[in-house]
Formats: sequence, structure tokens, C-alpha cells
Amino acid sequence: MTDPAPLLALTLLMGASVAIGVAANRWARAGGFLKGYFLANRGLGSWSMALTATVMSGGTFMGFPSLVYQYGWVLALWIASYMMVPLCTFAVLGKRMGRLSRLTGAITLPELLRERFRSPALGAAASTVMTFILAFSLVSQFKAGAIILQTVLPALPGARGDWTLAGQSPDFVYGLLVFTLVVVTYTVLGGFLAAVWTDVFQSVLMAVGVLLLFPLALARSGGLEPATLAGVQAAGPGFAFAPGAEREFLPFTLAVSFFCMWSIAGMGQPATLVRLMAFRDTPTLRHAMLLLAVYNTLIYLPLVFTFICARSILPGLEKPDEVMPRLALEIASPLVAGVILAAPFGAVMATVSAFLVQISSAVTQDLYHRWINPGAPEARLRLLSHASIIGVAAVGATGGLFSPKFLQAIIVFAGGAAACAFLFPSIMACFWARATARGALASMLAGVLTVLALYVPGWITRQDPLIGEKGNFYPFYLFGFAPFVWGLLASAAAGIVVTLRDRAPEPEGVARFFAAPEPVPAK
Amino acid sequence: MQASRREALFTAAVWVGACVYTCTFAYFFAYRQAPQPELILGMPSWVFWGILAPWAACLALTIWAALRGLRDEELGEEDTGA
Repeated sequence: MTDPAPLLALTLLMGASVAIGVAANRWARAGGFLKGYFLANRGLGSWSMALTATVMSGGTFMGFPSLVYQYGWVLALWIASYMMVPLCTFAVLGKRMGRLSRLTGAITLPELLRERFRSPALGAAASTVMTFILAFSLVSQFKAGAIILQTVLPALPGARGDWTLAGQSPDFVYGLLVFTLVVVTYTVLGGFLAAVWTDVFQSVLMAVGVLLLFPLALARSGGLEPATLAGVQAAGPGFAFAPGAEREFLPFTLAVSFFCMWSIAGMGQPATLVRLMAFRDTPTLRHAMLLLAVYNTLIYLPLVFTFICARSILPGLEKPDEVMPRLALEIASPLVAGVILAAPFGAVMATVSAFLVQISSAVTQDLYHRWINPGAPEARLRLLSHASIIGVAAVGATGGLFSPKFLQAIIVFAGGAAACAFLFPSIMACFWARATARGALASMLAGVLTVLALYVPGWITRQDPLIGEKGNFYPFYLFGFAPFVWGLLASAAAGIVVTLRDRAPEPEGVARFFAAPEPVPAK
Repeated sequence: MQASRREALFTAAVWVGACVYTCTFAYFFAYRQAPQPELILGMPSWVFWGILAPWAACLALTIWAALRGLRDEELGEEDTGA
């Protein structure tokens, strides 16, 4: 890619992100360091909640289009449950998580579980599981960021040489280095609020990109009908039907699985749950739900339409993963293409930033401040937060250098495992006064271990089950259902059974969490 | 607490309705391939009736819930002693 416009767009995006970090740093100083740095003083507004509390990453703008291009209209069924995401995300746990986090004073998810169930062991287990799962995701996101950046970076001194590092080309190494430096800079500066504001920024950019690309693709392909018929002619009738063209991408059992996946798994992500602890008030929550419903409708359906058209505009692409940048460069001016390409890069940056803050909060607040040095001064906590972000980023970037070639599969694994670990314990904490710490712990471990147990055979054998996305490694689809479904069932069953066999908690110990809200004195 | 529980149950009911309708419709109309698809507005008819229609219904229900359905509540005082 030789046109400077995409590089200019990405440079502007990176500069804006660092500026956002500086601004967030000043904004969050109003409260205490920990609550300001890790929870934005519980002051998130509707736009921040709507555009950052759900599962969106670089995959939305890079991986998903390539699937539409390859398998056709069945992808509309794959993402159908996004129609339910706003209600599921905000109307089920929103108010209860917001209230519990205030009643307990918790600023991280493990802290909330520990205080609600009065169990340091549960808090420690939650921190460990969360760090383990997020580390998986982090590695893949670092690599995704480097891949995007390497395509637009100009040749740097040494970049044209024939040296390699861990088998990676010089331009990849430079891309990884620049990406890591930028993300670490603005995350260290702004913490949670910087991650949220960058996420809002990239979400708006993503909407602009989709809304620019959609009419251009429609015009170039002559409309949706010619595009569909061209796709059927090229790939067969499977392009217009389930389970998909060229491969059984979405058999019926997986269609049911993914209807559960996007709407329910999204509720259980640590990044989502912590945002439900950070919103300002309930009108904010309601408005966020409305905004997200409109946003999802404007993003996901036009993305399907656009990349159905791409099949007729760019027939026979050898690398379908490149369909987004190739289409942008084919049908838009270089500057517009630059804006469109900046969207997935911004999405990856925002995801990495959010994960870094989550892991840093687990190290600083849940491990050091709670267990090792409860009386630590603010300056030391600040230093440790920054050091842990830099340290985790260094590990993540190194992992990105060595990580294998199955990024999307890692993202799906980590998303499913996180939901199976945290969703049901959170529901128990919010709605079940009888729930016990042992029950919540059993639920968390059963969920994550079930998902792991269904992935490990696939990692070892790498045998193609002939369904789902084609890649380099696969989970074991027990009875054709995705591991997430079994993990969630195991998590729910373990939580209920262990709780009912355990001694009920003292009523006075949990009464305050389930009492009617007290009226707040008039200001 | 009562309002939160009622709203969670409302969401669960809508989710079950959307899931059953979408998956059942897809089972009968998306998984039976024909050489030429029947198109509505350029998309296969099963996409229009099986996904766009329930999506529109869910969008309307979500907007209703955001504007009228969910009750505003105080979230409580911050526990500063934790």
C-alpha cells in the first residue's frame, strides 16, 4: 500500500488517542486515584455506555466481513442475536450491578464478588481466572494491531533487510513496536477513562466507515439483487441459504449456539460487567440501551449487505481476510479509504487498552492493595498501576511476536470462557440472596474448565470437524453445539447444586444487598 | 430489586421469543436450499422474514423499554469504608 492517505488517517487516530489519554487523566483526577483510574468515578454517560459496553473489537470490522464474503447470507443468521444485545446487556444486570458496586464500594469485578459473598478466596480466584483469560485475548489483539499497521507503515531503516525476529518480518516487528508504544502511552496516561473514550471514538469511526461504504458498494454492484445472484452463480445456492457456501459453516446446532453466544456471552464479559459498575444513574442506562439498539441496527445489517455486494465487486479474492481494506481501496477515494481503515485499528487499540486496565486493576487493587499492602500510599498504587500496564503490554507484545496463526479462534475461545466464568456468578450475586461463595466459585470454575476441556482436544488434534469457520484449530463441538453452550450449562448447574448443598448465608449478612433502595436526600 | 427482577424476566421472555422464532423460521426456510432463491428487496426471503422482521420487533421493544419500560431507581450511597 503506497498511498499516504491511510497512513495519515492512522497517524491522526494514534495522535487523537494519546490526546484522549491526557484529557482522561485530567478528568479522572477529581476523585481518588483508584476509583478515578479504574472506574472513572462512576461517571460514565449514555454514549460511553452504549458504545463501549458490548463485544466489539477489530474482529467486527475485519473478521466478520471476510466471513460474509466467503459464506454468504448465512452470516445474517450468525449475528441475528445482536437484535437482543441492548436489552440483554443493560436490562438484566445493569441496575443490580450498579447498585451492588456502590453498596460494596467495589471498583473491580473480583472485588465485587468478594465483598458480596464475603469470600477473599472467591475474589482471588476471580482475579486469577480473569487475568488468565484476558491474557489470551491480549496476545491476539496485539498481533492484529501489528498486522494492520504493517500494511501502511513506510519503509523504515532496516525494514527492507532480510532479518527476522521470531520468524516475523521487519515490517511486522516495527508495526508491533509502534502499536505497543501508542497503546501503552495513552492507557498509562488515562486508565479506564482513556480506554472508554478511545472506544467511543473508534465506534463512531466504525459507524462512519460502514455508512460510507454501504451506498458505495450498492452502487458499484448494481444493487443487492444482482449481488446476491452473482454470489449464487459463483459459489452455488449455499451463498443464499444456510449452512453457507462452500462449507457447512453454520449447521442448525451452531445457529442456536451463536444466538446464545452474542447476546448472552456479551453480558458476561469482564469489560462489560465493569462498565455496569461505572454508569452515572439509571436514566443513563436507559438512554444507552436505546442508543445501542439503533447503533447495532445501523452497523451489523449494512455490514452484511455491503460484503454480499463485495463478492460481485471483488470476485475470487485469494485472501478473504483482506476484503475490508481491498473493498475500501477499490470503491472509495484514498482519504475515505483511510478513514475506513482507521476504524478496525481503533477497535483493536480500544480493546487492548481495556484489557490492560482490567489486568492492571487485578494486580494493583485485587492483589497488591487487598492482600499485600492495604495501607499503601496513593503514589505507590499509581506507580504499580503504570508499571503493571507496561509489564503486561510487554508480555502481550512478546506473545504477539510468537503467537500462532489462529487469532479469531482465540478471540472466540476467550470470549466464551470469560462469559462462562463470570456470567452466572454475577447473576447469583445480583438476584439470589441464598447464593453462597462456594456456589459462586463452583459456578466460575465449572464454566471455564468445561470450555477448556472442549478446546484442548482441538488444540492437540487440529482435526477439522467440517463445520464452523475453517481455520487452523478447532474446538470439540459436543452434539454439534459450541463449547460456550456447554460451559454456561455447567456453570449454572454447578452454581445451583453447590449452593443448595451449602449452608445458607446469614440473612443479616446479605439483607442490605436485597433491600429496597433508600431514597437519596434532596440536593 | 422487584423492578430489576421484573425487567430481567421481561428480557428473558423477549429473548426466548426472538430465539424460538428466528431459529424455527431458519430451520424451515433457510436450511432448504433451492437452485434460485426467492428474493425480497434483493435479499433471500428467509432473511427478510426470519431476521429483519424480528430485528425490527426487538428494536421497537427495546426502544419502548428504554423510554417507558425500565423504572428509574436510586443506586444507593457509595460505601467508602470498603
